[in-house]
Amino acid sequence: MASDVLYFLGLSMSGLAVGSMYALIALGFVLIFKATKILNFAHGEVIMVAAFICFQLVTVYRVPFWIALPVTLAITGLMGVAAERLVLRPMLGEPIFSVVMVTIGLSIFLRSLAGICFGHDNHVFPSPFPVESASVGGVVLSYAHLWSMAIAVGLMIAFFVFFKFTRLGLAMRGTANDQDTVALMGVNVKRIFALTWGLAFVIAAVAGVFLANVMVLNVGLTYVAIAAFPAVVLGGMESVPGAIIGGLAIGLIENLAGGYLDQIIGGGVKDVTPFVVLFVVLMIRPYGLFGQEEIERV
Amino acid sequence: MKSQKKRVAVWGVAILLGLLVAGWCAADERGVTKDKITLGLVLVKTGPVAALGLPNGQGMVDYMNYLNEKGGINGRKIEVIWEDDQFEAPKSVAAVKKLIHRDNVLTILTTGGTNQTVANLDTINKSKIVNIPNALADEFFKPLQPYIFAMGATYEAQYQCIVDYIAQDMKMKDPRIGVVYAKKEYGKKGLDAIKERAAKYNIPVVAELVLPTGAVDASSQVLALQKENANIVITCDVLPPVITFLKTAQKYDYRPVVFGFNWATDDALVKACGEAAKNYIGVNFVGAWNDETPGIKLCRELAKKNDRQIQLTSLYVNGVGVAWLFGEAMKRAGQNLNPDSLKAAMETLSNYDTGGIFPPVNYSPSSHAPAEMVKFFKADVPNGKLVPITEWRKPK
Repeated sequence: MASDVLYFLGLSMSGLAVGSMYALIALGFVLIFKATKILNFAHGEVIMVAAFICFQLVTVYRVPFWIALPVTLAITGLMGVAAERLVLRPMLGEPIFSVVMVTIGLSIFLRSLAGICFGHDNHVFPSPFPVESASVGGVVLSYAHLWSMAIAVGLMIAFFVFFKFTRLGLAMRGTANDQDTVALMGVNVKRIFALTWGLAFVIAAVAGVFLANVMVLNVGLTYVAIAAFPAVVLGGMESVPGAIIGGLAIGLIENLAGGYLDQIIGGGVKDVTPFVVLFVVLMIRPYGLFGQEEIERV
Repeated sequence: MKSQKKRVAVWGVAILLGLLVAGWCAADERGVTKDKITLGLVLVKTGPVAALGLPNGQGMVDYMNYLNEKGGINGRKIEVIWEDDQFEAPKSVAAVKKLIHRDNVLTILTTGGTNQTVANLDTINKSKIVNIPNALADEFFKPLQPYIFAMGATYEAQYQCIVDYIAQDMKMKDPRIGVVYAKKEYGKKGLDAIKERAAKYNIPVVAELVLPTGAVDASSQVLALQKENANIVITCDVLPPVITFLKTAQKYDYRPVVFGFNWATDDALVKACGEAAKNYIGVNFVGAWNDETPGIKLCRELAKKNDRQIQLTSLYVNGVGVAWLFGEAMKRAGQNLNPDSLKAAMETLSNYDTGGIFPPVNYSPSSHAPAEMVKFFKADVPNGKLVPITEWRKPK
């Protein structure tokens, strides 16, 4: 009995740990969607590129990890601003479909560029976290996972406060709601867009660096964004707490399905479960658990 | 005036006939001139699995250049045209057609992995493309495919050897096998082979768990294996997920003996995992990078000379080995080199020694089957490499 409880707790904790990674990824999607109503299909590539930048800083330039991390965040933040200025701003006012296609183009460009610059080999990130794991009452968790969980929760609180109580956060929400109206009220919409993209790229970089710490680093890291996408839908496309809770929930569900159902049903239930959840959520609450239902008055 | 017209007409007809004859001759000796042999190569160079194609192709190119430096084949220099298929069958099909019809190559050393080779099967037979796929499937040699020469050991044979090793060499008191596999062709074939072989030895397979290639974490798999008391884990997965698995197992202080097949048997695994690879045993149908056999020594020399930063050394070794076999066959085909004579020459390779790169190679007109032999390698963690622990062996 005790071992069953421990098994459940072990699965739950590791699920939450993976979920915190999903949450960080989902947060990047949500930030951009919240401010610009654009689904950024290049998000996975940004995660991968950021992880490679940090990896290069640590391994090639011998920069200590805790310095390399903020440098990576700064570089990717600038990349976000540049991407908005050079790629997305020319698309301002164009149909959403066209803008989405541009983000797909950006994803292909970044993936190819990463292949050229960083190669296609597998790398193991020189993790700054101890190899040994933390164990509480028999439930084991790695330090990298603990850090990512703490950062996910910290970012959730920080962004909640940012969007709720700061002028900039309010301007971002307003921009997402009605660009013309906030522009008439004096908000510099273009600046808001640039800041949003920069911020989302920074969050992607955090996710990328932590993912690289627990996974093998290669250009395939981009595909984790697909695994995290159900978290965005579950939480609600525009909800910051939703992204975090959605990420944690998907990680948890995925791991419990893997631990209990994989052996009974067989054949990769763990990987399918998040998409089953996605389907169910779309059927019942298309706007997600914490998303806002759009009501149009005519 | 009239005779001048007549002369022009005669010359015109003569030139046309000449061109036709030249075209006919060129078609007959596709890719071979007096001083040059043009070969094609279709292997992934870019994209998520580029790490698998690049060292393999580099090994082939480096060995052909090495032959060129030694004077070429029967006085002819070799040129290799490498097309990138991004590991996608439609792109491989297009690349094969381009190499045959536009570049006019003698043959294509490899047309890629299983899916790509299957997709190209019609063209391979129609255009007589003598090739060694860089993957292995039964349909490549059962029944005999006239232009495909299978190399290595099938996934089934590799996993049969692993279970044989567990039952007959390890002599563990109460072995309990857990299988971690990818939902890919190699994963499913591996799982079936393990279950069948384990049943033969009455060894229980206590868990079958999927671990996809891009897995973020293997916690649920490790916890499930721990729960089932699996003291042996056989992975049917490629390198990245096996690294993820080993590192996750280390996190949970779970230390079973872990086995892997050729795509996960490389020094890169030991370097990546360090202490987590302590109990890792892999099988491969090519020699290890640090072997002191003549073939492997040559591989190291070629990599050094060409300044190759190779991570997956076993694939580079494989590439050199494949090019070695083609080099030998082209030499045996003599001056009259064409697809048919190349095929016939390949079929004369009997108990052929590649200096420890491959097990002895045997092809004949009635069989292009692979040797189905592997060596076992154990992780030498302090030195970050794999060391052989057996000689070549077949499923028993």
